[in-house]
Amino acid sequence: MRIAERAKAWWAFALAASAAPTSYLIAMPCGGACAGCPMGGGCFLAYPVLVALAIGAKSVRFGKGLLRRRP
Amino acid sequence: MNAKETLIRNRWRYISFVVGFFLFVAPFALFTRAVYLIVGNTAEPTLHSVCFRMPIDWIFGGRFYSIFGSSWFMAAFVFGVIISSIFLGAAFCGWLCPVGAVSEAISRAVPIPNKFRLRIRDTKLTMSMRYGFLVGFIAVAALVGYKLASDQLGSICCRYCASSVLQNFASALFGDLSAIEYWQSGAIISLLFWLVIGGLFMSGGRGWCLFFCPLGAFSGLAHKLGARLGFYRIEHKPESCNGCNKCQDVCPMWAIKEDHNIERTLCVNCKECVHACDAYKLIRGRKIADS
Ligand code: SF4
Ligand code: SF4
Repeated sequence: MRIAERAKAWWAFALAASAAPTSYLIAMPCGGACAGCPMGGGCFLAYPVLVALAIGAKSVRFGKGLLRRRP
Repeated sequence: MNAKETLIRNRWRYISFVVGFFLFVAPFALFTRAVYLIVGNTAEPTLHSVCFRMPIDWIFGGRFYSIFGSSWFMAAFVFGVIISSIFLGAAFCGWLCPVGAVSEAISRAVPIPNKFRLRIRDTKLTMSMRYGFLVGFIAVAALVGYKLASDQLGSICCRYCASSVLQNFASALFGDLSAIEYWQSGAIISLLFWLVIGGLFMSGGRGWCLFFCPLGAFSGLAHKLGARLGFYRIEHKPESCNGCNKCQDVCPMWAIKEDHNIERTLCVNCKECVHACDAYKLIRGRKIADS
């Protein structure tokens, strides 16, 4: 149990530690203009939206497959 | 607990926050203005004049000399806050900082049911996230400072900043609309993290302070050191505790551990736990813990 708790804390630490460097990398293509563009944070939302769309598309295909297999 | 009760219980702290606003935020910035007047600095003071981030950035980015340059007051302020936390706890965060005050006030004023608000009960987890982010922040400062990465993040850090958002809000409120071009992506993202996710949807409304503010993180470490040395702190007396967990519910910084002792790196000395329960006692002056 203690090991699991420690692992959780270290995992949280690692994730949080990667937050600033990751935002640096994500913002790289925009260079000095990042955060100054009129997208209003759209890029920030784009990643989760893309992942959600990908998962959605997969599940739709999966759903269609299920339907097709029905007698 | 209703809003009126909260207001009465915290009256001195809330008055202090209003004073903090007038002391540090332009167009008033009375404290900074007074110092500038004394030293003959003709610049117009704003909340940026006491930036919570830049002196930390300088130190870890190898630009130590900058703290003696024209922005010496900024460095003196930040180090003053951190050093005072050894003796007074993180009192700046809990009693003066306008950034923490606004998000805390919004969370208290908007009646969202608690089940929609995030609260992490495991203080180790909260601490890991707070200091994890600090380590990442320092790493980027070092990479940029030692020219291992381009310095684009300098501007990014300033854009993703709750203090900047607050200062620009205040300027606009008092008639200075010149910073209108500021209201773009960075400001919107910061606003989202500071007031919506960290304020409205986190119990206590201190999400920004808990996870993103380097000054708060260092003040917490200084308070922990001070408490170890026997200075100002709040102690939990287990013999007076009935295990009702009310203290955990009222603490805006999620600083109360499962055994009801206080995680000092998170505590901002707001004294909500002291008001909520007799098992918490303030230790002033220098007294070494019995245990
Ligand atoms: S943690 Fe930072 S933003 Fe929060 S109260 Fe302290 S100095 Fe202000
Ligand atoms: S432990 Fe007590 S004094 Fe510290 S932040 Fe929580 S409620 Fe405030």
